[in-house]
This record gives sequence, structure tokens and C-alpha cells, in this order.
Amino acid sequence: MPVYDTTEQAEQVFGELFRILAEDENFTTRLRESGLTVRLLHKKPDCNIFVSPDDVLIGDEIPESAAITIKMSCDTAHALWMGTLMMPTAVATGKVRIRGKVAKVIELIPILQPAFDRYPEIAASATYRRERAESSMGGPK
Amino acid sequence: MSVLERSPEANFDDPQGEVSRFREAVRKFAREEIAPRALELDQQAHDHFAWDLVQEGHQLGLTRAMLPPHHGGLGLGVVGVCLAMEELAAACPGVALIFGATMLGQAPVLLSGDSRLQSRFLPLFSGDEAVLACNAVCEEEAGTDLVIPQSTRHARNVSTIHREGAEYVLNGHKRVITNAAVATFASVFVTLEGTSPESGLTCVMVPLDTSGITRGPVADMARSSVAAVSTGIARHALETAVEFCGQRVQGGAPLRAHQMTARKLAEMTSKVDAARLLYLHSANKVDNELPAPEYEPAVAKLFADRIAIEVAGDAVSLMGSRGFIREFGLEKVLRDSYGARIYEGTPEALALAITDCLYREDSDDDDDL
Repeated sequence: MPVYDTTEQAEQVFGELFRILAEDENFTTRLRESGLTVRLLHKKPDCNIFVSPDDVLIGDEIPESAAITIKMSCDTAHALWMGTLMMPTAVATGKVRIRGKVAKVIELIPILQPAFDRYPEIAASATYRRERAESSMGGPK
Repeated sequence: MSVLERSPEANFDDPQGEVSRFREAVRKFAREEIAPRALELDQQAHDHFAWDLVQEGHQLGLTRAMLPPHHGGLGLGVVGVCLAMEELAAACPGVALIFGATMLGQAPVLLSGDSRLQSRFLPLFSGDEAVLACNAVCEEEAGTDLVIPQSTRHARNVSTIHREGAEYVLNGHKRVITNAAVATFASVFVTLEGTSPESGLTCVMVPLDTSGITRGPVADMARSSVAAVSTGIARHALETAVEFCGQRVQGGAPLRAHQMTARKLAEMTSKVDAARLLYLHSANKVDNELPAPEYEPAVAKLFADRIAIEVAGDAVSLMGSRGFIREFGLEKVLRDSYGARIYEGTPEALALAITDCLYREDSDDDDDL
């Protein structure tokens, strides 16, 4: 059973995660210094996010290119941010595919640390809200 | 400038010119410092190690070319490393392998993404004194079985690691590991006790002054970067032959004016250029894709290894007895060309990897995510 059933659910959680990250001055400064922009293309369900030092864009209207493009399933993204799947393992097994300068990817990974710290809380909160909404409507849709 | 001197910038992205400048500096170092000593190094005692050349290379940045700038490196990527390897190998492949093996030892630390490991091991390479690393895969019984996925289940007596309290205990015996005798740390590939090699190897960073480690003597032996080494070996043979055939007069004309010789030289230079294009293409893919591609590096190495032997053989043939006498240097080049074919994948191992890719479904399919 997938962690997120719909694009809306995934966009809500991953979008919130990166909006919080974008408010972290250290994160945006390091992105700017390294000239980094990132496209995250989540699958199953589709959820596209673009992160730059100035903006976080979500949905189908994100730019066609970025310094780094990361493609993975929403379940893989969930496991990564929860800390139950290591990035090197995910890459080695093909669960995560990355295009862009590997040197830039190596710079990106350490500055994502706040996302690992915040994601469990964001995901748990979203799950709680979803379950409450479902129970008030008489069960899961 | 002859066509052999041309820079291949058109084949990769180098907007700041950093890679080209590094390549020029390495070429100068290789030609002025390494090449004049290549024969002497080849004939020196088995356990001799040219620390002075390593120190000069370190000052140029050869021990930290691949490391990102925030870890004191040059951040040149695999393309930059491969071009440097070609230059070094055109002077002496043994020296190229010292630096190449160090980068192989660094790669697992970099790719681990673990900032604690990186902070512990990577700053070692930006000090005043040269520090080397190594990558330990090969074992007495498990050689190629450890690098061909279809064969890993057959790997026997592979080194193991298990946890004891707060420590890990590693047991095993690695062999023919380039730099093992002189490296500060090794990236050692082992199986986690209780699992089979088929389920994947674990990489452990091992400081080589740890108690319980015994090192053998310096060994004589040290995929995109080895393809570059083979290309460098072929280029050395080609340049030697070009010089000789331009000067040597037979039948009233320089050798190069004879059709048979011209044909050989033309074929040799075509092969060197093709090998370089293949390794640059492969290195560029490795610099821009994760997981790292399997197909392109294997194709580049298979081709470069083969043409290095062919070009070295043709050079020996063109130079007659001078090609065979050790003092002229080509005998070493021919020997080196066979060595490069073995490490980091024999033609047979590469053929299995390439053919497996030919029959595999497109790995870019989103359903596999």
C-alpha cells in the first residue's frame, strides 16, 4: 500500500517539507553559493517539485531543467526522509536516479539535513489530518 | 601544434577552463619529470616507491583532483581525472595508477554521503605531505567473481566483517591491491557475516595503521579511468612511432612516406582518437548520472585495452629492433599495454557486463522506481 494515494497528498507533504527548507537561510545561501537548482520528480503518484534559492514550485508547471534532477517514487522519498533507507543504497539499487553533476549532488546531500530532521513530524501530522478527515467522512476514500 | 597536441575541449563542458589547465599542468609534469625516469623506475628494485614524484603530483593536485572544493579538492570530476590519467600513462602507467588507486579509495567515502566519514578521511589529502589511499576488492580465491554480478554467488572465502560490542571485526586477505603497501587508509569490500556476497558487499574504511593488519610488499601491479590509462599507453607508442618514422630514412625516403608505414600510422592515430572519444563520453556520463552507468565505461575500457596492445605492437613493428630493445622504451609500453587489460575488469568480465546491458530492459523505465 503506497504511503501517499494521490498527487495532492504527496504535494502537500513534500511541498511543505521544501517550503520549510527554503526558509532556512543556511540552506538557501548554500544553494546560491553552489549555483544549485533541483527538480524532484516523484512517481507513484506523480509529484513534481522545483527548488531554487529563491523559490519552491510545485506541480506540472515546474521548469524543464535544473542543475540536478532527482527521480524516485513517493514511497522511496518517504523512506529516505524518514531515515529508513540510506541514499547510497537507494542509488545503488536504482530506486533513486539522479541526473546532473555528481560533484553538485555531493554538495547537495549535506545541506538537506534539516529535511531529514523535519520530515517525520510533517509526514505524521499529514497522516493524522488525513485520517481525521477520512473518519469524519465515514472511512477512507 | 600537431594533431597529437590538440586539446579535446570540444568533447566536454569546461566553461572555466579548469580541466584544460589541469591537463596542461599534468602533461608538463608527466613529460618533464616522469617520462625521463620511466625506464629507471621500471628497472628499480621491486619494493622501490617513487615518493618524490608522488609528492610533486600531490602539489599539482593529483591526490585531490576529484574531491569537492569544500573538502579541499579541485572538484574536477571524472572527465578531468581521465584526461590527467591519459597524460600520466603516456609517460608511465605505474605512476598513473598510484594516483588512480588513491581516487578509487576516495570514491566510496565521497559517495557514502556521510559527512562524518568525509570529515575524517578527505582532509588528509589537502595537507602539505602526500597521502595515498587504496581500494581493496580482489582476493586470493574471489577475484572477478566479486565484480561480475552474475558470479558473486560463486565467490568463495570472501573477507567478512561482524560487530563485537562497539567495534567491528574484519577478517580476510586481499591481494594485488595497488598502493596497499603505502596507503594511509583502504576502502575494503567485504561481506557482512551471515550474509552472502550476492546480497551486496559492504565497504569499510580501514586506517592501515590499525592493529592486526599485515601488508605485503609494494606490488608491480597497481573503467573510465583505466580506459584513459590504456589510451595514454597507446598514445605513448604512437608518439614514439611518429617521431621515429619521421626521421628514419629507408629506400631514399622517410619511413612515413612509405605507403605501408603511412597506413599503419593512420590506423594507430585513428584508434587513439577513438579510444579517447569513448572514454570522454563514458567519463561525462559518470560525471552526470547516478547510479553510475555500466555500459559506457565497460565499452570504453574494452576498446582502449585492445587498441593499446594493437598500437604498441604496431609501434614495435615499425621500429624494428629498436622497438624490442629495452633501452628505447617501447618494450615497456608493450608490457604495460597487457597489464592495463587485466585490472578493473578483464575483456571477458567486460564482455559479460556489456552483453548483459544489451539484453536488459531500459533502466530508465519509471515502473522500476
